[in-house]
Amino acid sequence: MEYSALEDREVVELACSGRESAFRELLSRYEKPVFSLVFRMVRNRQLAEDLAQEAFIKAFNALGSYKPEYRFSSWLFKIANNLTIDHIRKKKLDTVSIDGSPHAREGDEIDRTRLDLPATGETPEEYTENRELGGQIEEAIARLRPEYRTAILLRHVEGHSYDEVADIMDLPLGTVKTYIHRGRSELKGLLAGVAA
Amino acid sequence: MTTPSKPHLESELLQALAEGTLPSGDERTARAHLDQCARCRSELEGWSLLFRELGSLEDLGPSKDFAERVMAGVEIAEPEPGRLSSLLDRLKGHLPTRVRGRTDRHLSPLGLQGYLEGLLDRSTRRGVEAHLASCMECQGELAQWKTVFGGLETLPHHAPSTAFADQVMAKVSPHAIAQAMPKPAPGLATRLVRGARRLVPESRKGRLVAGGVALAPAMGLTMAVAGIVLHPLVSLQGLATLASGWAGEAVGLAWSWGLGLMTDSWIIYQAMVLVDQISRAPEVLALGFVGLWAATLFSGWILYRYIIAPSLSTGHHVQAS
Ligand SMILES: [Zn+2]
Ligand SMILES: [Zn+2]
Repeated sequence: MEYSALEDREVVELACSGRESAFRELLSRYEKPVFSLVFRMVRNRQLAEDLAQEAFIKAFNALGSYKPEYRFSSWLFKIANNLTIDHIRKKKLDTVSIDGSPHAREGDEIDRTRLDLPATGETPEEYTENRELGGQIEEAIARLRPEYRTAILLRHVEGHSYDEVADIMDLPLGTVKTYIHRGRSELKGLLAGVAA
Repeated sequence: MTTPSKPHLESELLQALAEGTLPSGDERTARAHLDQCARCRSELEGWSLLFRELGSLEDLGPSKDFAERVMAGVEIAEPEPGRLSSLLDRLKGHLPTRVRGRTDRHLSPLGLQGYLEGLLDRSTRRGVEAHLASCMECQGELAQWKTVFGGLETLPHHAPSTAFADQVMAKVSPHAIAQAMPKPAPGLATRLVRGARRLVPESRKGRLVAGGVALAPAMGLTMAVAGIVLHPLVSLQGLATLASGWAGEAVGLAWSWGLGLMTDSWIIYQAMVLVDQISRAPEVLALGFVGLWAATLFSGWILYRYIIAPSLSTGHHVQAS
């Protein structure tokens, strides 16, 4: 079966008919993007693999509920993001800052509901372990709050539109724009600090 | 109304709103707050006034107390202790980067980001480009933003371990997933067949009762015919002759009616020939009677077996002789 010419939607249809090769095609298309997003969120390779794996298994088993009018990647990222955020919330990862309300509608509300904790989501050991996520920009991204980070990664690494990011993160469009603008402002400050 | 626990709109956001560079989604959110908050409304008024003043000044560099002069003309509603002076401090702190020797304003961070993302409409973009062409400071800002955007665009994808796909597939059953797919809505024909099937009783007994009830008319008709045939004055021969006479008449009528159709349809012609032959053959009629008798006996048996017998065994005791 030649898949390269097929759109995601068509590959999903074949997967729905029980073709294993179609599932493998979806994996080969999205294992890196999904893993990368989760990896940059938790900054722990093994944990990221586990979460990404869980996301794929969950998505595949729920393939019947996927609506082809949405981009498959958006749907998959939404599942992966929810699992990751759930994990971060549950573990609290000790030092991660989390918005109190994921449905905060405006900047004010976001600030009010935020738990004010240091922004980096990793222990010192993990931080040094993550040479893979080294480099100025990676380290600056690691310092962003998780929700800023997700929004910026989806926008810039995965190339999703603001609307799609809002859909994936289950947030109002205005909030997502605020996250992205503030996140980028922080990155600019961090990168300027490095350069200085 | 001011809700003390709720943070007010940031001054950067209010400036963008006054400039008209705030994205519409953010603007809606900000307006919703402004509707409720007199303090932010008056701060916005202050910024709008400042920007208007800046825009109307020609070749006049702002003096150090410029912000104070502008803001002095603005009445701040519900001033809180220290709020006005902190606002003026922020305003002063902001002025050097916002106001050039000339009178126009610098590009806002939102404007520059929107420009790099290609989200600005054509006239706004041209305005930004015109400003950039003559403003070193904003060019410097733009270069910094480009570093951020450039860095983000070059972020690579990381690969999971090579066993990743196999590990996922080991925990997924394509066959079971395909089986669990919701079935598409059935077509009209399928729905009709299903509806008809629903009318058929589930149990064997139910089906037989339904069959018996369906045969009841045949039974009634047969009994009537039998009554006539068994009448001493009626012989089978005579009845057959009579019937064949009726049939002949019917065929004659049908014949004249079907004559027009006959030329068009070979099937109708053949059918009429067949009916004509049957009506002339008493043996066929007799055979038909025998068939009716068999059907009647069958109906009777069904009614007895499933309706009469059960009610006898459960209900009254009847002497069997
Ligand atoms: Zn306010
Ligand atoms: Zn400028």
